[in-house]
Amino acid sequence: MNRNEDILSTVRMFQEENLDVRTVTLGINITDCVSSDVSRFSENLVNKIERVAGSLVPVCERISDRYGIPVVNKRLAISPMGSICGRIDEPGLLQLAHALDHAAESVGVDLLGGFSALVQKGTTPSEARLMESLPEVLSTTDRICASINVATSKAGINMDAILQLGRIIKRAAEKSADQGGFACAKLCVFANMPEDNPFMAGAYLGFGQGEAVVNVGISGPGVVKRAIERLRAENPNLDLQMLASEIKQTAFRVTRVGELLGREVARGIDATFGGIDLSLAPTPRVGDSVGEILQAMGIEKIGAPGSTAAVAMLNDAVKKGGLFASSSVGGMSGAFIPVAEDSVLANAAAEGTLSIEKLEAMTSVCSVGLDMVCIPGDTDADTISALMADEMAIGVINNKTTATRLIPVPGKKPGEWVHWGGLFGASPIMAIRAPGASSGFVRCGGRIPAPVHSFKN
Amino acid sequence: MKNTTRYAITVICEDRVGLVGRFTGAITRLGGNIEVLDQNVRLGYFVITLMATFETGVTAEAVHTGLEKIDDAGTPAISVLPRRDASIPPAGHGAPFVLAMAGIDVPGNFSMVTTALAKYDINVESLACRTDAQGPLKENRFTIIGELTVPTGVDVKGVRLELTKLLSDREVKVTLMHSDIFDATNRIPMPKRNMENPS
Repeated sequence: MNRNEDILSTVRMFQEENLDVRTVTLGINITDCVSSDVSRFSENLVNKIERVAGSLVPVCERISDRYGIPVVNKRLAISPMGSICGRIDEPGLLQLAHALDHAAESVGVDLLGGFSALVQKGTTPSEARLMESLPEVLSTTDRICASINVATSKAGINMDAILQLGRIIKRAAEKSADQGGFACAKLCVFANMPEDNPFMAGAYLGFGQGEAVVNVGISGPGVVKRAIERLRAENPNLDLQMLASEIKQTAFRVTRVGELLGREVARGIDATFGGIDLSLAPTPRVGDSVGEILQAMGIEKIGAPGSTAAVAMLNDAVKKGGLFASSSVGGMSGAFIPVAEDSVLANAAAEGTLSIEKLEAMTSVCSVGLDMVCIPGDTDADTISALMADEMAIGVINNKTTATRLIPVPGKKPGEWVHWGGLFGASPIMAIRAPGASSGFVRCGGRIPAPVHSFKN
Repeated sequence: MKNTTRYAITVICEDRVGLVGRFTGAITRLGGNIEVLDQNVRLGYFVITLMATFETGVTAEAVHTGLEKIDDAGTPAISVLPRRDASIPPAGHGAPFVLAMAGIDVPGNFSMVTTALAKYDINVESLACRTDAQGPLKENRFTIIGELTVPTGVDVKGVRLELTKLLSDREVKVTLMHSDIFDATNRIPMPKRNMENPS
């Protein structure tokens, strides 16, 4: 039996702190759908997704009603298309993407991830074609998300792929210029990409994960922010250890709720429960911001000195609480700082307190990276590649996941805004220091070798 | 035990140290075997409810008299009800839920909610209410926490909506949630089956 104080504290999390489950993502193995005939391949994909994921949304809604906990997003992730698409050409890949888009719509999910390639040590011809198809795929579909793993701590950084992606990102932005370069918001470039990440745009189902796997993203940052605010109000002499403890306790609770629902959903759709991603994923809504957590911790202006330490402490406390709560923790499990998707971060960028350099520093202690960062539309491809290379280096050297979602917004200059609305939010265009000055390095191509400490055999 | 009579016994009296020992000792001296016992102190009153079996021939009056002698400081309120059936009544069928209500204390909150629950055959297993005085210029606030058994097939979302609607003109928030949520958020996970198969 639970104590009344515990019951009331849990009730408060639902009534006042907007506790929810941020995403339930069903990973589907599609390797058995493969056919050299694109129409057959497409048909197999649609049939399999409708068969395996047809009940995902109704089951999530039933369980959500039963427990009284909202499941905010229901999504799909598939095996990395780049590894299974064989000799299919770019028009064929586009056809597959549209089939997946249709299948995702028919089962009622808002996004599908896995139009992905794993090219950390080298790129196969099929993966190169998939990457080249991305501008068209991402600008002509609604739900398809793509991710490319260009680096691992074990393999190093594939600079050829990064160089290619700089140009691809430019093309994707131009093809979706009427939407502010929105196609780029659905493309993540990773170092050490996790195979069980439930969050978009980087979700895909890794090989060896199983046939149908449910991965869950825990509640958003609002719960943590309000817990900190309450603690501060109750304890004027608060110290950072107390703060860390409160964050840990909150993370414990939200993780347990996520696991409870995730297991129920997995059972309801006859899938395996994969794990919980502890990442605090913000949305542009007020009260749902990682930036607001940092403000509650005492960093008035995001980007001010202390921001990196605050993010580090937040990230660590969330992980400690979550790891104690569940033995199935995976994904990226950290605090996201996606500028466009977090209104406080976006405002800090507009005010100039948050720069790309400071963001980069913050990403060295949290996940994921330079996420939803809007840059001037005239940024050259080499500079985009160099930004990616910097972020990948942080991941590779620190043995952690990092990523970029860089969006060169056509026609926009630093300080101007782009508005997408919905979950993708709005952002000012952030200035890049010394653009065009990195070509000599990135154009060398090849591979940045794996760091010495990666050799562990 | 053969040839036995089962009694459901409730005793209420002013609380003081040693009462549980005295009452359970009295049951033992009467030859009774306690099967179920629930005791707490509410608002300064000692409340004990128990189920015990006695040899046939020990009457309810005899049990009542035996218990009366124990409270030397006053007159306890004692109820001894014989149960005809031989077995302990089963727990309610359905899923365990927790009801939590909080808000401005005005008459009628309890009856309004419990009447609505009864309409859905939802059984109240336990209910506790606390009222906090907010000072002379403010209205008192109350908190109710209850354990309920919700029959299979009841539309819990519908019940939640009805309760919220019922209380919409009062400054009261009501929450009805599966007890698994409270177990999950307040207990350290153990490798046990019920996490895998919640009821």
